[in-house]
Amino acid sequence: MLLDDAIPVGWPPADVRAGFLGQAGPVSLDRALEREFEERIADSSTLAFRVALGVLRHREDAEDVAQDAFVRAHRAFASLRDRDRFRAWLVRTAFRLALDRRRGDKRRARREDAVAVEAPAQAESVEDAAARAELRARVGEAVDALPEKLRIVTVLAAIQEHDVASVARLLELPEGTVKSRLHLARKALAERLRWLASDSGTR
Amino acid sequence: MACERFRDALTDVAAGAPAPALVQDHLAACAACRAELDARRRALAVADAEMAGLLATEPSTGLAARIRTAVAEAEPSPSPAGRFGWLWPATAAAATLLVALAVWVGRGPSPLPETRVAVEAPRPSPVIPSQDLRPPCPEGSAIPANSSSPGSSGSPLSARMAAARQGRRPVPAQAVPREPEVLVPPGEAEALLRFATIVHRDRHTPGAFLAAGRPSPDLAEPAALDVTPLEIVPLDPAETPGT
Repeated sequence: MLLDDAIPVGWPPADVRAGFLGQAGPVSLDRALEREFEERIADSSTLAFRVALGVLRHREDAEDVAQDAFVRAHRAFASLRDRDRFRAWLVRTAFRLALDRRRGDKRRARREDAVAVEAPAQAESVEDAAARAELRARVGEAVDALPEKLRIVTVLAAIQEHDVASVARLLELPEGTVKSRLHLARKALAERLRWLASDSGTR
Repeated sequence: MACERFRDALTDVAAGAPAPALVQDHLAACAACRAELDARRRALAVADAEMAGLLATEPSTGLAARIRTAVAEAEPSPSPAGRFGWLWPATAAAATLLVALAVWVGRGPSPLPETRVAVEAPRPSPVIPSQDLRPPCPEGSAIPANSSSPGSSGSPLSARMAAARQGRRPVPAQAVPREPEVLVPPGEAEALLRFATIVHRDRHTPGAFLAAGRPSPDLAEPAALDVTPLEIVPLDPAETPGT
């Protein structure tokens, strides 16, 4: 054929190609896509939720954002079938949606009054619970003050079992870049949160 | 005052960087800076613990089901139009080039100045096979741009085709919404897909559409013009207009 030498290998995907040429019915293709999307929901919904929670610090809002991110992912799923690519896209989308939601939230102050996502422990006094909520709010403010590039690295690195390599994979960045951003973020947090140690009388 | 010089370095060390020898020497001699470093480390430890505690929160058990419901309500299934949306711009470009090529090959080299081909690029829209185009083109499959359901009889395109069958003059293009279409004979779908592939990937370098390594004189080399000299007949001065 005339164009054989010029055709990029592996494109378009075999299923799309088959669909275009009428070699596969749309029903079987849809089923395969839906099955894969189900798998992505099962293995990535918690990740999307936690990324949003790192920004919003509010469970219900974070779940709303995770849901919205998956609805958007579903629309673009034909081009996001690779698992790593899907998760990277999902993390970016959930982070962006959470930022947008936070910026547009007029009731933010009231939300932060109810920032605790966990009920106080039974042995914890009211004062201790209040102090703990205050501490969490202040740490959250310090993280909020970080530039976005440092903030997303900080949130992802704080999620359990996320090392530098997995954060780099999720952000599609070199590991060195992630290390550098993480270090800058920690420096900024150390400066901003010095009062934590001062308040406890360590200086 | 000397301690101020180490302020940034202390933050670096607290954040995890190794302490340079100069900083180590100062820390060994300065209790205030040791306390400062310790304070920053503990502040970071508190922040780490808080973040880790927050981000260990599990979502509600119903989150996955809620996502499935939202996805189903927002979009029942990925539509073929969505999957093949990328194909339309490529198909439109391919159709434009094919039409231009067909006109060029069909007319051959012409010295006439009015040999111009006006091709309008159709509006991008999804590609869905349609049944209602088959009667006028029984051996071909049709790919209309409009995403209306196959077999819908009320479309402007069907009305235009019915008018054409009855011998009526088609409505001018500007009077009705344009419905670009690409008719693809079954035997040429493969070739069109290949063409669209290259256009889509922006790999259409000059010569890419010709046989690689093989000259294609029919396409690459236009035939030499065969110009017949005009026979100029001198006017007869005796014949004047009106006589």
